[in-house]
Amino acid sequence: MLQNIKISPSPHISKHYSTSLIMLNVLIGLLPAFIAAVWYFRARAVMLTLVCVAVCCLTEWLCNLTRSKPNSLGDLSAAITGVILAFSVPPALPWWAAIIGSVFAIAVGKMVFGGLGANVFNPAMIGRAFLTASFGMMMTTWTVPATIDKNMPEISVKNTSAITQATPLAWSKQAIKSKKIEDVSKKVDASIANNMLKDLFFGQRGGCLGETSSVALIIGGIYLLLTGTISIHIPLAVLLSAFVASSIGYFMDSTAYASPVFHLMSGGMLIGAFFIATDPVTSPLTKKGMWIFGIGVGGLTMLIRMVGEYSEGMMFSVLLMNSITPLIDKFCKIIPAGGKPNV
Amino acid sequence: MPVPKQLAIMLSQHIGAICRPVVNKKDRVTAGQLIGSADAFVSAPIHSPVNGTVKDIALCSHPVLGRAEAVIIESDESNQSKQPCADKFDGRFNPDKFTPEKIFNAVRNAGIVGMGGAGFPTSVKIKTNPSSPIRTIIINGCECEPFITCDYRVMLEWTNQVVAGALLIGKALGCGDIYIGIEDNKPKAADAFREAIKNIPAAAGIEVVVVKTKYPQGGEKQLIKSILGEDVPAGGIPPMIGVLVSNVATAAAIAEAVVFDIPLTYRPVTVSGSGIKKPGNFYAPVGMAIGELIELAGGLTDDAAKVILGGPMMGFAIADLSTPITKTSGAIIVLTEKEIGKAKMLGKETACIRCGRCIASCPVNVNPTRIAHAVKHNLLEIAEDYYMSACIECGCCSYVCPANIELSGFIKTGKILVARQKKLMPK
Repeated sequence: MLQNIKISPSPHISKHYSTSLIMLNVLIGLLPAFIAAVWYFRARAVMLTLVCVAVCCLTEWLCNLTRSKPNSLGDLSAAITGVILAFSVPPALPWWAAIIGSVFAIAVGKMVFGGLGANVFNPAMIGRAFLTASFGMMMTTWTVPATIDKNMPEISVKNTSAITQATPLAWSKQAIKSKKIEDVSKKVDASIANNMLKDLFFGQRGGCLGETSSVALIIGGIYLLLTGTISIHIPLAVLLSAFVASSIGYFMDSTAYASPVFHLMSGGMLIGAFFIATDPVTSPLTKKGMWIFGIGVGGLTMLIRMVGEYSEGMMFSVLLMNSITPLIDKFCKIIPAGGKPNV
Repeated sequence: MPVPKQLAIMLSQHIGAICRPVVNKKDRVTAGQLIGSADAFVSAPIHSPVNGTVKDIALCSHPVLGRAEAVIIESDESNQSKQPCADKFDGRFNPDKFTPEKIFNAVRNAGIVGMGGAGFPTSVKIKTNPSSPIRTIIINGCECEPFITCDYRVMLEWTNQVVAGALLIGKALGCGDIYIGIEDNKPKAADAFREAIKNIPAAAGIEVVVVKTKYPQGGEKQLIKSILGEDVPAGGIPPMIGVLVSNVATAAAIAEAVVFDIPLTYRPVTVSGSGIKKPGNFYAPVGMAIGELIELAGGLTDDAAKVILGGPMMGFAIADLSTPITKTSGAIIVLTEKEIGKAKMLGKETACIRCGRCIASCPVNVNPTRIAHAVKHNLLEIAEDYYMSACIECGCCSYVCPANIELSGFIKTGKILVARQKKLMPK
């Protein structure tokens, strides 16, 4: 009896969940967005997601093998990187570009730092940044969703072929840029963007694979919040700060700047707020730190969208805030209940 | 229950100086006789629970200290198991019959220590100290760890005795502001106390406070926060803000010691967990082997995997079933693999994903992951910089950690390492 008696420090019981379970919940949370992606972009969505997940997992396995480390695929974090990378590239991206992005995301974004828990930047965003820098054209070519009747007249004046389409964010960017144009006939009004709210909500619009359907992302985000997979601080801070920043622009000049609701639902704002910025490894530990991080992500995104050259800013703002996460943690030390102890 | 044939009574059952044995090998002892004398102020004497012969004074397995000196007593046939004296307390109890000096001396001589687990000598706590007078007394009826029910039984069956003990503590400290804190999953205990307070005229000032059931509600700092809304300074003790917290079983032992001059030699013990065939509560003599208590509770089931002295959250894993119980052993919990969790059973630890769950769960707001990782890499200054000394070692962080990191274990190790560095503790 009791030959296998166990000795360990207390506590002797634990909550029955694990890192893998948390990651599995994130994957389930991404499922509605995947369904929406398949609905709007058909086979491309399936192909890109499968390629990215497979290559991410393979890269992680190979990295572990070369470093003689135990296989870490079981924690499912490589799969999440794959899914998020696939969701944040244009549907028309060729498969070989997706492979390059996935390899870079895992190998340089994660494994060189020592694997899960040690990476400074969000691996999926590293992969996407690499693709943006390398294949700028491909990363800004947007497919028309399969659900749009291609014989219908397009909103875009230029693209009558209806193979590609400007994203709503590109329209809002045009409106900002055309502020300086003297010729009234060439001016683009922000109301074009504001009229797209219904399509933004359901996802029938050009954009990255998994970020077009706001409703799917919101469902996934609520699932993550309800299961306690993420805490509310970062999503709330991102969305609130983006709302405030875009409101300022909207109230200053509503013909040039699109409405706050438009900005919250367009581009990578929702997938960023719920799935990318909330990556625990690359975001701060404390609540106060999470607020600062979230406000930084939301604020920087809006700064890039409204003032910068790019029409979308989620990727850069997440990467920038990732880089100062250690600093935030350093300055947001929590004080114990009852004040600082006299050491 | 039968009296065990042999008892190993530890000479260190409390915080403070270890007792000096005052009996020799082959001496005859009687129940209640002093066998370990406490010479220092912060210490508590030790008595024999039974009539018998001293077989040896030797090193034995100690639940916390590894191996420590114990007086081994062989009990003889004349023994009868000690019965609780709760039925001798009724509405006529009046604490004014006793002076504070008499109460202090009785508590000191009876060797009473905090029976909730800490084992701090009670006499030290109830000695009036002009520099930090006690203005509030809280009787701790919050048994917040899973499985443990011995304090619940004490509250239900020894209600009057606990109230008497509370009044005696109040008398000793000249303090009339007394609360009894009970978790809201034990309404029967709260009712029993309300009834007892009604029946004892002297107890009219005692207030029963029902608090939320959560872990670690029974931690003295957490209970003070719940009842009085005040924070004890981090790394400090309740007397710093004029509060004394005492466990219900300790209060009962005080009443017994002051009124009947009976030393603390028996205590209620919960034997429970899925690895026990017939879980129950026992009134057991100090020094009884854990294995014998488990036998009384029907023995171990086949899938028993871990024996714990104390609760599953803060107790100590036991390797040797001959380890005796001490005055602070409120429970013996035997867990199965299913309860422990597979990852914990295998000791399988994965990388910290910085999710912050440990921080969110921490009742005293420290940063467990930072402290634990600093200790892991022997960076004790960083650990202290993150307020390691404020940790109350409740184990919540390890409980919630999805990566199954022994955060609490690392922090405890870090505290010991720091104490050694400062030469507060021997190597």
